[in-house]
Amino acid sequence: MASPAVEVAFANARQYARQPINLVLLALIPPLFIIAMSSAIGTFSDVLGGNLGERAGTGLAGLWAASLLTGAATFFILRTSVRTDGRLIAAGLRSSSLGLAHATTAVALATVTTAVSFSMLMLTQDVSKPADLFGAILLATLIYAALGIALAWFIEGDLEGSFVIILVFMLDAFVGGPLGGGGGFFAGLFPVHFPSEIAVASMVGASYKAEWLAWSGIYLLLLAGVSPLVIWWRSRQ
Amino acid sequence: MTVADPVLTKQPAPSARVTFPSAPILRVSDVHKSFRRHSWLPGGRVNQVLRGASFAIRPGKMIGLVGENGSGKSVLLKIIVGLMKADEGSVELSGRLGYCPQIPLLYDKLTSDETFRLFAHAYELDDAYALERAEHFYEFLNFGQFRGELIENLSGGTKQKLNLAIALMHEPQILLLDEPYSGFDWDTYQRFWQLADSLRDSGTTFVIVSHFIEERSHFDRILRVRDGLVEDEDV
Repeated sequence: MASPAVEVAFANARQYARQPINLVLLALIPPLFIIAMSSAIGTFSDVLGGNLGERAGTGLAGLWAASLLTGAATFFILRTSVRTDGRLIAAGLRSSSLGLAHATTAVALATVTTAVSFSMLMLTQDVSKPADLFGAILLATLIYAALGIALAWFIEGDLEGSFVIILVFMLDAFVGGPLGGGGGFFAGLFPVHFPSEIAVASMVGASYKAEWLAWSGIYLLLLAGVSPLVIWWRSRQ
Repeated sequence: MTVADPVLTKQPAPSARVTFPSAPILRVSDVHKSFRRHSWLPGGRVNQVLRGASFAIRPGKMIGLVGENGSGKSVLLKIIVGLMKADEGSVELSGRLGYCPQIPLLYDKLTSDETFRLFAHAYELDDAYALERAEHFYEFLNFGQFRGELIENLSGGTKQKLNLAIALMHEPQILLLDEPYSGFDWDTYQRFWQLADSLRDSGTTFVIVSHFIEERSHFDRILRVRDGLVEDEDV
């Protein structure tokens, strides 16, 4: 007999995979970002004051695609499951099992989107440090997964939630990230600023600072710390 | 028609039975609940739904919970189940609880089989027993032919059958049912009452939100929710 957490995580996975639009987006968004946007990113970067080359920019686009997909998906999974979660808790399921199930789902989803984006980059680009790039994208998707769950704390409407995730993503991409040459304390406050810097460096074989990894990890832990509170709170609504 | 299926009427294991059958199985004391909508803003408001609801129920009784729309019946059930927190007051419950919400709260992209399995984990039932219970409900409520369909594709009545079966599958000692038969056809509606009467006779306690006057003959007691309070009404 599988544990209750595993059974709920499988239920979440079925909820995601049996919505055809999710699979369509998973198959379309990374190629769209990586192939269609790669030539435009250098121009964008010039306009925004950055100096990204096409290869570095394409790596960044892969990271964005995976992050956006993951953040939106985790938000919607939690949104659609919240009432059933409450009934499962009333039926005797432990809150810790429910939290573990949602965390497992979020990590699995982040891994899948990372793998899709990374594979696309490996197929189309010359990546200098593949392992580092994979790690950077995974960090970014995990941060967005935690962000998607945390946003469920504040936002109940699907439309409002989608809007906020896209707004955060746009600020992350155009203000906080390497696209616009963002640096300093302010830029570092954006969720995937440091993973983006690592991804850019990994694409072109440049070195990056160990502290960037540390800050990314801290950001992830902070958001991941909020997530169990969200799950507990939502199950009481 | 009689309920002949022993699995449907099987009693809880002796070790899990209520020790003192004459003691209340459910006691609700002075429960208050209000909903605030922008109450900190000009024009915001507070809707006080429950203002000190109190009652106690002894085992083996069939209780009808009645009241106008918006009187707070469903809120009261949610507070008893633990889905909603009371502002004040307490709920004491002994024995296993089954809850059938008015709207089926189920993952809509799972099948009925998967939903039984999921809730079997929540109730901590073993696989063989959960499967046995699922098979009996499929047969008794006549919806086994839809077991592989996604819930989102089921008719309202079939969803409600599953909703009820999930509430019953772990043989609860007290059942809170919020209009459990909405969408049922006449035959299933009658089966529901035969099942409920049979379970009540073997010791299960029911609290059923009802709007139909002809159902009063089934109830041992009727509780009316009015002005945020709960009062007894003649059966």
